[in-house]
Amino acid sequence: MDNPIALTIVVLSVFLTMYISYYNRRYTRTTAAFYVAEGKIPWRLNGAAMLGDYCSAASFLGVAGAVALVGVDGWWLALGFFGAWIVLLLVMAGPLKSVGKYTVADVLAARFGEKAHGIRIVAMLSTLVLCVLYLVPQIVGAGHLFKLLLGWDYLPTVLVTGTLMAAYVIIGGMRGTTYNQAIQGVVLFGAMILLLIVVSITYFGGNPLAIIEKGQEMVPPAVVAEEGGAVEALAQMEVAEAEAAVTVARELMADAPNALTPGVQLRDLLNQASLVLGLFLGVLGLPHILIRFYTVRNATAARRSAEFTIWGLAIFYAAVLLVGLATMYVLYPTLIQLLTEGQQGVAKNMSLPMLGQLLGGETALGIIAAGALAAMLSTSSGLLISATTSLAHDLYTTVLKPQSTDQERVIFAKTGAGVLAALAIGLAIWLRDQNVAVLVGMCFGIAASTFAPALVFAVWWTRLTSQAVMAGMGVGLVTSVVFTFARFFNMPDFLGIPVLVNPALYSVPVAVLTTVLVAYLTKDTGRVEEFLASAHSS
Amino acid sequence: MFQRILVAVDGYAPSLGAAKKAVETASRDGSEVVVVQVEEELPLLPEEKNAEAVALKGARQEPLAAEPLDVVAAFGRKHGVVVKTVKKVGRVTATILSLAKEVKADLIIVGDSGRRGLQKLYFGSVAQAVAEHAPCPVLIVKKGTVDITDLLSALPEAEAPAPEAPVSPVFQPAVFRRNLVFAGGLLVLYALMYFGSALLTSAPFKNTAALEVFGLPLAIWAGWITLISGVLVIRFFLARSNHKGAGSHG
Repeated sequence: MDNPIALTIVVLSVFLTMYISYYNRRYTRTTAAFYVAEGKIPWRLNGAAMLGDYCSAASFLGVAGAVALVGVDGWWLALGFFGAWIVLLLVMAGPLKSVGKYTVADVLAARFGEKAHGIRIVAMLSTLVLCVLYLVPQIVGAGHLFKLLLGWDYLPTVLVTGTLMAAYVIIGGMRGTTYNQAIQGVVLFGAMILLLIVVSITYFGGNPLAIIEKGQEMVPPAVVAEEGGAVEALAQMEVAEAEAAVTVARELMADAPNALTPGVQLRDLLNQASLVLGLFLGVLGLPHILIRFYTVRNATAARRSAEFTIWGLAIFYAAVLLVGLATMYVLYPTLIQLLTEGQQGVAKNMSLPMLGQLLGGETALGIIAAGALAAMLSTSSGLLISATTSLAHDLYTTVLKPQSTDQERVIFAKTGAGVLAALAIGLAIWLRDQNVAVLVGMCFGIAASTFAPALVFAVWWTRLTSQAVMAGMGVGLVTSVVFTFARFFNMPDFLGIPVLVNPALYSVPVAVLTTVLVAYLTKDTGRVEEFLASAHSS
Repeated sequence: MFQRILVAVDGYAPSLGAAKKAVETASRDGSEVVVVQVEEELPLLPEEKNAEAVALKGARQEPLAAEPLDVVAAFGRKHGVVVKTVKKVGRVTATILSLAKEVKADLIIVGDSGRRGLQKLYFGSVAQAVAEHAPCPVLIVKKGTVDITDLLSALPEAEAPAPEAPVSPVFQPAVFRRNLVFAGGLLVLYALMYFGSALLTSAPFKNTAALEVFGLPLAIWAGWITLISGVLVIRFFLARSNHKGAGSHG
């Protein structure tokens, strides 16, 4: 065991979170304190939980890692996550709140009737695919994290942590999820800000803007790693010689781009467009994130929690850039060595915990690891809960066995969750070297090609038909999954079409066009007036 | 003896037992009864609420009375007792206590669900908390100590309020178009900014993006602007939606 103190902190934190969520529930029921501003606590709690839902391990570990390796290009993952939140609030929040339906299948059933089995099946398939693929980055992140803490190999680590995570979710159920997510939101946000403050004071004379100046000097590690001479010159350097390493790399590669140069080695126009498009529309297709918006009672409370979250996200994602650049500087030689030694997965995802370790020793490593693990656990429970709901409700009860008992349904759902988790663990072993934020971005791409068009058209377009929903979701699902896996297999092109970092650029237009085309050819527009009336009542 | 008795109900047996004791005591003493039902305000997910409700119910079955306030009011009428009903939203214990002060209750009666073990650790005991902080005497009715058959039959079927017919809203094309233009307009505005900044940072435009403006490359400014304009757009949108009457947006 490499880091006993850090590991202890992580384990304790899991128990502490469970305890706090228990304590909180009792407290709200039995406290005698009465707040004049009723609803004050709920909206803050809700805002923090939204933040926790949204700032997953991908935002925390993946984006910072990407910035640390390639510079400002990596920031676009974060800006995409942020932009998606804006689209969500503008386009879907109002209508869905009015309709009072929070899941994709429910919304579509409200418009096209409960009998629309075809829609239900396609929606369920998309839900399952999304859940499994979204679980992968959580497990990859956890695998690398515990590899760092325990010093085991990746394979046994990922098997053990993946299984434990699945067991925690499947056995533990979901009570106290909201409190857990709120705690996690606050911890992640706090950890990011604390890292920024400490790293600014320790390395940049207390001036965060000096980080940006330093960024203009540095050659991004991902660029250095491809330059044999520079790699050799830096191979023996220690972390403490970061400043010297930066200078050496710059001298050897005088004309190389710096960390603030856009488009470094990463994305041409098509790749960048595909990524930002997928991110922009993706959250529209992840309505389980939307649910949070409706858990407070009135419009004012909802508005306050949404504003709370939007400010939180803006600050968080602005800080990510600075922390990422600072990480690049502080860990400069280490990152390059990791990249050249074939440890891409570690370099891409673990730079933030490593920065913590350097700044505050094992204790800081433990705190950051605990925050990241909390994020992974709560995201995983959210995903497995939506997957099992869909399995039990859409498949088992509606199609397979309408006469089943509650007990049978629960067993079916839990078995299903186990199978999905096993699939996700298998994929996590295969995809170990991927950046978790990029993996999450692909899920956004799939969601953007399936649920996003279906939902947006359902609440904003009178002409939409049930056949169009089915065709559009089906075609979008197939196209996006094919291009996602083509990317995983490192295929340069598929049927002559170049494979991009994100499937969205192909699958979103294909899904939208299919939907529109089929809608004009078919007639079943559902209970359109009734539905739109409730969606746009004010 | 007691002027005004406050009793809290939730539709389950222990609390209804408490209500019965309240009416009986009031009938003997000539006091007034205030009966309150508190709905907890919790920002929980639907599935989470469901799991909570199942756990709260525990071994108990469905609630015995869907509208406990009506049941207690009817039972009071039968015994010639003035019953005032109050429905509140908030924290259970705090709401009961603040109401007790507000109506100047001199006795609070609550039921005790007899929750034990982990469930008690998780939910705590409202009866205990009320007794601990109450400004007046408290009577706790333990689970299974009061027979409530007569209370449950106090509300004749005929008297049960008819379920309100759901009012289905009427589709208003003008409202629909206004919403579409408003949300769509802001979306297009933000999308232009977002995709503009995003594509600026791709390879073909990297020289433009690298231009220094006030000491920073344009790409960094584009990122900051994406963040700040997002906050502004949403603030504007939420303020307008909230302002627009029904307030169901927002």
